[in-house]
Amino acid sequence: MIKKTMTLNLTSAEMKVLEELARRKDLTKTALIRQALRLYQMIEVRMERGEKLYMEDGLEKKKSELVIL
Amino acid sequence: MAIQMNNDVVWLKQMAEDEDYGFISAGGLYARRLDEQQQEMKQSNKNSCVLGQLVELARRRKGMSPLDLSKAAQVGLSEVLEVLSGQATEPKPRVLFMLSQALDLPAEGLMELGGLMESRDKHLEEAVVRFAAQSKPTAKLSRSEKEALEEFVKVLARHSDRGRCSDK
Amino acid sequence: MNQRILILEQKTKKFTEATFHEEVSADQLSEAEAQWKPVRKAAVNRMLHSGKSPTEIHTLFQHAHWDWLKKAKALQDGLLAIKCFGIEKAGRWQGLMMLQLAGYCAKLEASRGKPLVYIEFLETAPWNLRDIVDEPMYGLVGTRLIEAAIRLSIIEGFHGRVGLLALPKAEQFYEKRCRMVRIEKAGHYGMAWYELTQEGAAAFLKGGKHGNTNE
Repeated sequence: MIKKTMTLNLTSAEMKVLEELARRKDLTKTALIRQALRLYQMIEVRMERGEKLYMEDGLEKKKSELVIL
Repeated sequence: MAIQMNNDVVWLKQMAEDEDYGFISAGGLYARRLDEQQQEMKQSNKNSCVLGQLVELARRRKGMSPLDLSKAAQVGLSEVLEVLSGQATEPKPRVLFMLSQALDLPAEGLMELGGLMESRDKHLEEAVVRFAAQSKPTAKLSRSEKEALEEFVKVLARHSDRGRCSDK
Repeated sequence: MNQRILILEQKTKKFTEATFHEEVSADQLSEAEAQWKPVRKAAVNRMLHSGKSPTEIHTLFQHAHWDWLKKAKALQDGLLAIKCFGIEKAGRWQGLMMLQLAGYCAKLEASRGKPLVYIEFLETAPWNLRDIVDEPMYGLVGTRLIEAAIRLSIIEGFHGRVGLLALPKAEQFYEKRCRMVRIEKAGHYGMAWYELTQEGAAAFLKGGKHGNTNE
C-alpha cells in the first residue's frame, strides 16, 4: 500500500482535541485521522442511500436524529 | 504497508497441532441473516395458518367434506389436508389454483397467502391479521365466522383486482 | 497485493503453498460462492438421504446460507473501512474474510472503547470441513485468516485487537486456538462476542502452548 504524506493545518484547539482523542483511543494521530475518514465516509455513503443517523440518550433511551453531514 | 504473513514452519507446526477441520464461521453478517430467516419463517408460518383457516371455512361454507373438496378440485387428499391443517408452508401453485376454483376464492389472493406471489401492499397483511384473530374453525360456521370469511374474501378479491390493474 | 503462504494439506499432513489475497473483488466473491454452493448442496442432499432431519442439517450448516453475492455490495461501495482477504489454492477459494476497520470498539474492560479490527464474516471452503466432507482438503485456512486480521490490526495501530461474533459451533476455534476472550453479554442473536487483546494477539503470533487469557 503506497502512502502519501500531507501537512495538516490545525488550530491549537483542534490539535488539542486530536491529541486527547488519540490518547484515549490508544492511536497515533495519523491512525486517528484515518479512522475518522473511514467513519465519515461510511456515514456519508449510508446517508446517501437514504439511511438516517440517530443518537440515543443512554438514560432516557430517547433517540434524536443527527443532522450534521 | 502490506501485511507480511509468517511462513515459519516451526510456528506453523505449532498451529497445526490443534487443526481439527472444524467449523470456524464467524460474523455479525451471519447473525443478521439468521434474524432475517427467523422473520421470514414466522411470516410463512403465519400465512400458512391463515391459508388453512380460509380454505377450511370456505370448504364448510360449501358443505364439502375434505374428500369432496379433493375430488372437486382434483387435488390429492393429502395435499388438501395439508393446506387445511395450516401445514402447507410451500404449497404448489396448481394446488392453490384448483382449490380457489372449487371454493370460489380469488386465485391470486390465495397465491399471495401461500407465499407464491409477492404481496403488493400492506392491506392484505392487515386483513390476514384481522381474519386470523376472528376465525376459529368449529363444526358449524357461526355467524361471526361467516362474516369474517366474507370480509376476508372481499379484501382478497379487491387486492387481486388492484394487483391486476397495477400490472397493466 | 498477493503473497505466497503455507497451509496444511490434510492428506499428506505436509505444508503446501497457497496464495493470500489482500484484496478480493466482488467478482471474486461471486466466484467463491459458485465454487462452494454445489459442495454444500451435495452434502445437504447426502445427509437428507442418510436420514438426518432438517433440524440436524441446519445445525451442521449454520453457515450454509451465507451469500457472498450480497456481501459484495459493501465492497462495491468502495468503503475505506471494509477489507476483504482470501486464500486461494489451485484456482479455488479456500477461505474468505471480510473485515471492518471502523465502527466497532473493544468491549473488554481493560481496552473498552478502543478501536479494533472487527471480523464481519469469516468462512472456510466447505471441502475443508470434516462435518461436510469425509476427507477435508486443507487445514490452517482459518488460522491464517485470523493471523492476517491480527497483522492488519497492528499495521492500523490497533495493537492486534480483533473482535467477532462466533457461531456456536466455531467457539472452540476462537477460544482455544485463537486465544480470544469470550464476552457473553456482548453477543447478539445467540452468538457470543470474542475479543483478542493486545497480549493475546502477541501470544498468537509468537506461538507456543496455548493458554487462555480471561478477563
